[in-house]
Amino acid sequence: MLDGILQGLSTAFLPINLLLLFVGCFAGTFIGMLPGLGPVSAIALMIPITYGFDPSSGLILMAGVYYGAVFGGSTSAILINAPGVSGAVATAFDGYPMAQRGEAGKALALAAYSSFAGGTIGAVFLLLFVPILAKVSLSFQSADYFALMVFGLTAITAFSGKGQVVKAVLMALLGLMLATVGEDPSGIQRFTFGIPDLYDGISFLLLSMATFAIAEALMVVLKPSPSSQAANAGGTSFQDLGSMKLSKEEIKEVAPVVARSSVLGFFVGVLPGAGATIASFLAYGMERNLASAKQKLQFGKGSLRGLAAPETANNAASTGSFVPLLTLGIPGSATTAIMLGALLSYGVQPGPRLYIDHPAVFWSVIISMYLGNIILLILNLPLIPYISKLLAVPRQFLTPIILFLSLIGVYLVSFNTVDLFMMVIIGAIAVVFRVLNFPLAPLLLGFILGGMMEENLRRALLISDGSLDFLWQRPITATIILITFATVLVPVISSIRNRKGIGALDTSI
Amino acid sequence: MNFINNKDRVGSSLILLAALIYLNAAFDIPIYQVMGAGVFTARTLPIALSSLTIVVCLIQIFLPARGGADETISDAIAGFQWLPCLFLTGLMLTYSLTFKFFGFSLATFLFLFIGFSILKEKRVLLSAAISAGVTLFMWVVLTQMFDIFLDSGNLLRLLAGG
Repeated sequence: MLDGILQGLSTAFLPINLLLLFVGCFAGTFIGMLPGLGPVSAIALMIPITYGFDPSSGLILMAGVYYGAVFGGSTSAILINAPGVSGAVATAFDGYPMAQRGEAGKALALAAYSSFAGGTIGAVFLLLFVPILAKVSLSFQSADYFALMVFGLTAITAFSGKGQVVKAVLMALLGLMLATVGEDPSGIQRFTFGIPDLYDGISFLLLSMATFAIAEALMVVLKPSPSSQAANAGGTSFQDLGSMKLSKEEIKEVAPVVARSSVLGFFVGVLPGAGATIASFLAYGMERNLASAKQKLQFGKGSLRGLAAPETANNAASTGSFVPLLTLGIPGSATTAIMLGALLSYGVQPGPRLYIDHPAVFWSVIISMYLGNIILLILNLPLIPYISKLLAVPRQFLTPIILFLSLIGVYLVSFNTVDLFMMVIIGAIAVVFRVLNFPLAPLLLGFILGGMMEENLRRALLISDGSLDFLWQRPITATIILITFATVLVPVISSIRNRKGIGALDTSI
Repeated sequence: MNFINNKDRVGSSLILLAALIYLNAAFDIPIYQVMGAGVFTARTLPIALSSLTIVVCLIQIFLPARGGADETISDAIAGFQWLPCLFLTGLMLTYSLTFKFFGFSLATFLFLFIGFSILKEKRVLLSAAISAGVTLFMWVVLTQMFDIFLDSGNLLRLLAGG
């Protein structure tokens, strides 16, 4: 393990990788600030650039973009009450009131320190748990992997929110169906309809750019939200952010909050599908419950605890979400799903073998996550007054440029204009689904897991001679399957019961 | 609530339609008996997936609709600015279709300039300057820094008599 860490350290500290990390943090902060464009779009936009890089450098850039985007989302939440990412919604509850009373600098500094602490504690946990989990998962067989992938998909649907469960299941299924387009593992063409451009299947990059970058940019045009209008006006209203210093008393007040929220955030992040948003809301709720009656009154009006808790938790959760990716090769969120796709395109298969076969990649990613937090703290924080001015770039210029970057990003990978055409069509369909309030993250996750799931199911079925016994023959498979059933059935039953209640109410009226 | 005005039901109906087309196409997948002889063929997963999708869609369609105002399409699309969105989509399709003819530089310049105009930017000179600047910057980055070949387009070759 020590050799691996040293290898990772030497890779992460290469001047080019440090530069990429800085560029990633900076670009991510800017993109994350723009309401509507989150870490998923930010990372998707970076993928074409990283194709020429070695896997470590590509992942380091993407890790920087990820952290930068999370931090950028918090910045716009604090400055203009427009969370750039869903994980920063809870940050706006107390961050924006602080900014309104002239403490924007302090709020940004606290957000940065909390993010740093959350990311640091998360990175330490990652360092401790990932190698152990990776070793355990080395004993996994095809049946276990298949069960785990089903669990990953059901977990993301289960956490998708009230009234969204069945829709998330449908989107995951749609993603799995899209994954079957192209040549199957035995060399048979499926759903290609004689079109040569479909023989290799739908490109993961094309799908992620279409469903996130293009669809999000079009949605901003379709329905300019008050937050995006605020973004247009915001750059000029924060010439003076105020002091960025925190007093000793304030640090003492938030220290236990940061410690608690880090632990909570990390473990929530580890759960597939839970992610930064749920972690930030849970941490906010937990701190409000733990606060004294007097402190409780401050929540929502600029409470330091109310700001520190979600900021710490969302960063710790972002780190935690790498655990299933690095140990099992299963992404737990749309962001890590995109990273998985990028890793696969580099020829690196994440999972328990990554730790053994590519120790430099494995450890440099973990180390660069930590370095990303340091860079955000020491470089981005002082630059925030300047970066925030970028929020004033008019949307009529920004949107076509984002659309162009998405298109050219996909073109540069395949040099095929048919891909561009397909991307626009899929982007338009994605807008329809967004309008209908169908979540797109399960679609992407289903698409990415589809190939691996089919491969493991095929192997498991061949070994068990076509019998489904493999689902309960091994205790580990049976346990995962049981957890999966519980994860999917509980929210579905409660959703159906709610609807039946509504139906009964309708008929009685 | 009107069926066609319910987001969940309309969305599920669209997916149901896609699943039915997919299932129909799944039966056209050739099966070579030598490979796995019936245990797991190229059709197995597609048929299982489409069947499951059809069942889930039907559940969603026939369950009592949630009655919140946010579930109606008419409320969801109130205030939408369709025209610029449609024009931008059309512009992207045109960009992808004319990219080879116009070449990277001209196609990109036109895409950005028209895109700014669609979003109601009235300062023509500023729009032209930003379009040219972004195009030039990207061209320099891609060709000079990353050494990527970008085709100058058939139009330029035609004009040059090539």
